[in-house]
Amino acid sequence: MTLRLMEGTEAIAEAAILSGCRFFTGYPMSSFTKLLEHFAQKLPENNGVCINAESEIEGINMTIGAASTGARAATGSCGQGLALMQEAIAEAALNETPLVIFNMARNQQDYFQATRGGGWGDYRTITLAPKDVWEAVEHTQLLFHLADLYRAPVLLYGDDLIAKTQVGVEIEAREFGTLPDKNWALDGKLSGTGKSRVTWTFAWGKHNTPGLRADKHWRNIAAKFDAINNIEARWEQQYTDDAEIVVVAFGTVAKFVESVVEELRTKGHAIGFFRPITLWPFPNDALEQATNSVRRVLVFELNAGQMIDDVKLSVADKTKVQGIGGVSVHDSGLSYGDLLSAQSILTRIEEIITGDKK
Amino acid sequence: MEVEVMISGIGGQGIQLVAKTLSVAAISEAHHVQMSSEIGGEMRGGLSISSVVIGDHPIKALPILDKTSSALIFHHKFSEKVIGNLRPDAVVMLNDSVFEGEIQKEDLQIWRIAATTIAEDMGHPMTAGFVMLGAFNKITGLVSQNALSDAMEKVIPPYRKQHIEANLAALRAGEDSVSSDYASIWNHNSPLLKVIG
Repeated sequence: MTLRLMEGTEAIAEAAILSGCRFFTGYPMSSFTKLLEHFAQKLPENNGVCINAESEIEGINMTIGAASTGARAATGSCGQGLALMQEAIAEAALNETPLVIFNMARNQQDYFQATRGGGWGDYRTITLAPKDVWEAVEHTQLLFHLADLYRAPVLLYGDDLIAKTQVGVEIEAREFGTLPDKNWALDGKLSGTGKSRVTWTFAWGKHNTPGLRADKHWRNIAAKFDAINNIEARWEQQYTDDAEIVVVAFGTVAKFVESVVEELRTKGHAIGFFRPITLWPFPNDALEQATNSVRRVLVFELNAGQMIDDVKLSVADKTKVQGIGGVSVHDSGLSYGDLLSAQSILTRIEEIITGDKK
Repeated sequence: MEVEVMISGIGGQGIQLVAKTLSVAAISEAHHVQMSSEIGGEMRGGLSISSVVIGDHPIKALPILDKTSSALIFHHKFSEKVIGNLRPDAVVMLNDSVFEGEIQKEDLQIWRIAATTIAEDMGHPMTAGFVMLGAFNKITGLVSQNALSDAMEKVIPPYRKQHIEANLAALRAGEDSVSSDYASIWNHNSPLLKVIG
C-alpha cells in the first residue's frame, strides 16, 4: 500500500477520474473551489475536459450535455450554488441523464435541499454523505456507478472538513458490478438514419421513433425511484443491540458523534450510534429496528432540525425523538461553528443522561 | 499508536509549511497521516493552527482535535486553544524568542528554543519554523532526519527553491540546539511515549 498525502478535494477528483469521469465543470465557491482546481489540473492530463463555467446554472447544463453523449460527467458547488442547479437536477432526473454532483457544503443546512430537492416533478436524488476523506473516495466511485445503473443524477454531500483535510490515502479502483449498455446515448451513431435518439423530459420522442410520452414515462420514473428506495439504503450502526439511547448523525459530524458514543460506552452507558450513509434513500427500516426498544433517539445535526423529520418518519414512537444539535456556523458563514467538537457533543448527551436519572 | 502534533502561531511564520513538511515526511516513511488546518482570513498575522496526526494504523483521530500529545508553539497569540488541548505530560516546543508569558499548566515536558534568534543569526529569520521542526523532530523522533529534509524540498513551491539551502541549515541548527540524542518514537525512546503510553 502506498499512501499519498492529499486534501479531500484532490482525492475526490482522482477517484472521479479513476471512475472514468472525463468532464467536469463548476463555478468557484468556497468550499468547492479547490475541487474545481484539482479537476482543472488533472482532467486535461487524462484526456478529459474541465471548464470554469460562468455560473452554476451553465455548469450543470453543460454537464447534462456531456453526460447525454454517454460520457461520465460531473459538476459541483456548495449548497448556495446547488440552489441554482435545482431545475436542471430535476430535468436530468426526469430525462434520465446520469451525472454526479458534488456538494462541498459549508455546513449541514443543505439536508432538505439534498433529500427533497427544489425542482419540479416526481424525482428523488440518491445522496451519499461520507464521514471522512477515505469514505468520500469510495463514495465518489460508487456514485458514478449508481448514476449509470439508474440513469439518474446523484449527489455527494461532502463538507468543508472533507474538502480541506489532508490525509494519507491510496486511490484504488473499486468494482461494483456490470452496468447496462448506454443504448440511449446521443453519441451520433444514428445520425442521418432518420432514427436518431433524443433525451427528453416529456419523452415525446421523434416522428420515426415515438417516445413513451409523459404519462407512462413519468410513471416509469416514479417506479424506478420507488425501487431504488427499497434497494439502495446504506447505513452504519454501533452498539444498538443493548442501547437505551441511540444517537443519529450524518456526514463528518457523525464521525464526531461516533467517537463520543465510544467514550460514553467506556464509561458504562448503554448508548448506541446510527449513521445514515445514504440520506436518500433514508434507511427507515434499519433505523426503526435499531430504535425499537430504546428509551430515546437523539439527533445531532448542525442545522435547525432537518434530518430529524426523516428520523421521526422511521421511529415508531415519535415522542422518543429529540434534536440535540442546532445551527452552528463560523461567523464567515463558510464552515462549521463551535458546536462541532467532541466536547460539546459529549456535554449535550450527558445533559440528557443526567436529566433522565432525575 | 497515534501521535497528535498541534502547531500554532500567526500567519506568515510558516505554520502550515512546517505541518505539511512533517506530514509529507511521515507519509514517505509509510506512516498514516492526517493534517487539518485552521487559518484566519488575514494574509499576515492572523490565526494559523495546524493539527497533524501520525500513526502506525489508519488514523482514527477527528479532523478537529480537542486533545494533543505534542505542540509546537510559535507565538503566544492564538496559543490558548492548543495549550488547552495538551494531554498530561505532552511534549511542548516553545519559540522562546517570540513567546511572551508562561504556560499555566504543570504536567508538561517543555523545551524552549530561541528559534527566531537562531534563524536571525544565520541571516534567514524566516526559517525559524524549520529550526523549531528540526529540534522537535530530534527530540521526538517521529521521522528520520533525511525524510524531513527531503519532505521540505518537496513541499517548497518552485518559486521559493532558492530558500532550500537556508531551510536545510535551519533544520540542522534546530537539531543542534537540543542536547539530547536523536530519538525515535518507533524504537520506543521518545518522550512522546510518556504521553501516549
